[in-house]
Amino acid sequence: MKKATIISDSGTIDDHLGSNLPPEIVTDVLYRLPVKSLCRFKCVSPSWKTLISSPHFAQTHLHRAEANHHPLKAILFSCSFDLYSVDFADANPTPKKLERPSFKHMSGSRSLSSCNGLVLVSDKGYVNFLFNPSTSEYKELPAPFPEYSSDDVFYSPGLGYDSYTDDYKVVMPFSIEGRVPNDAAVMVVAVYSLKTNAWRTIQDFPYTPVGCRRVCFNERLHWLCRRTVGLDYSKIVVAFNLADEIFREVQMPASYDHDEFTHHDMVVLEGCLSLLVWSQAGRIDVWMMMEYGLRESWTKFLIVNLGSGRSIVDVLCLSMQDELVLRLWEERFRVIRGSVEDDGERLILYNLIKGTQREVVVPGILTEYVVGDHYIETLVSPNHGGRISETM
Amino acid sequence: MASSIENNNEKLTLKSSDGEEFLVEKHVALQSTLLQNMLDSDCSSADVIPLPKIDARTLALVLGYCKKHADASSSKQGELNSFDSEFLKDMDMGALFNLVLAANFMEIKGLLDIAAQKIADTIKDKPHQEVREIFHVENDYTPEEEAAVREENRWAFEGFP
Repeated sequence: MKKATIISDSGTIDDHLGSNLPPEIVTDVLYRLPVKSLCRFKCVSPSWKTLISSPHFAQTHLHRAEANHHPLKAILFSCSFDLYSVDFADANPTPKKLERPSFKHMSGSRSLSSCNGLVLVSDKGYVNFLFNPSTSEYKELPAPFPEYSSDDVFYSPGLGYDSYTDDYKVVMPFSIEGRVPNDAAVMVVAVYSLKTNAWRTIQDFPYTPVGCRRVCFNERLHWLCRRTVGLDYSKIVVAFNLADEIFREVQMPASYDHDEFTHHDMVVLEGCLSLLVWSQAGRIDVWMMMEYGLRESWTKFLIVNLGSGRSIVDVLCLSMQDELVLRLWEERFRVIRGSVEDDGERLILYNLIKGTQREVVVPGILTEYVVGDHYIETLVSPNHGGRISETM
Repeated sequence: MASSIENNNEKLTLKSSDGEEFLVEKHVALQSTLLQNMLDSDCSSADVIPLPKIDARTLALVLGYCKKHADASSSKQGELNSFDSEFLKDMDMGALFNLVLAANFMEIKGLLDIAAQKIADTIKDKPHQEVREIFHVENDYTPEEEAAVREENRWAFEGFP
């Protein structure tokens, strides 16, 4: 029998995790616990705290959670700049206010981008926090530019993890009115690295992002964009490779609807990059790219039909790997009842595999909570600065 | 002797720490990587394989698990899953710890996995003081240090003494 040992951050062999089980079994049990239990169990002993706090533990815990398809939680960013978490697995999902960083600018252009349990919380791309909603740990990122001007145009930044350099990166297309030397319509891209805690400006970005979700998948950050060069305004998915820092286009399905009046979103469903396309009728087309990077593998997987009289406002987030949280608007409720209690807002959890839908009530879901995203509960700390590999 | 284990009906004798002997069919024993390696490397010439770390009560449980999984092999996953959860259902922490140690020693991955998961599910909502006792962890914190760690993780203690 080989005896596994636990190497703690200080590099010493830790035999103090308990006297009745070998440390590798205690560690294996701890990997299976939710974040809240682990944070409480830091009080068991200094050895437990050292183990649970180590970046290596956080990384393995994350991989286990991903492999076991842990349920997702939602994070909502409200009008009043408060952050809420929601567990849609609850019978009555209720937004729970999170201890949040404080915002100075509050411009009104909020965005969220989630990766490995960390959420990038942005106010107009200028004020950025890396926030772990499961542990309430956060880090304020330096401003991307020394001076802030209300004329600057930032597009929703995306957060991604590059395993090659073991670094978290924030990628943000922007154009600064009057400060970009040549064509103002051409955007450039700023990249922030958590390891260096600094922004850099990289290449041009001849696209305009549409929708506000950025998807980190396959070590690439994806934007759904419109082309801005020439007269071609078709939609395109642009993928930023986090390792070589080059943008590449992902070919759209051959029969993709580029109509100006359709809405689009992008999520990862069942391990496939997927496009959601809808117009005002209560129907969504779901395209899944079965083999990443292969245009022929785009498959119109299914059509979600929610019935007439229901307008789809947007896809708030996922509640599971295969379940969409849809914001709907039912005009007839507003007309007939017209009360404050029922203003026509609907939240539907639509399971794509089972084809089932379930309505949940979250008051103010259309008016108060502006943007949402989903995250997996992890111990990944925004203050480790990507030191994971050093301890392995 | 070595040649006779080729026979599928061959049985092995396992001996627990408290001296009890168990006659086990070979295909059941193969659920254990430890026993499999012993059989593969011709160490099986001994009539009785001693398992000095595993008591009779635990070994009986382990062999019950192995028999179910060996006989059901690959056919009915749903049936096995319900067997697994029923198998561990009312087990106390002491028995679970013995089981996880035995599964670890005998290298029975499936059993190790469900027993570790059961321990995790059981301690998940327990106060840290109780977890400390369950794992026999010596508390090296001074009361002040412990209070400080608790304060840092205040949110995780909602509803806990």
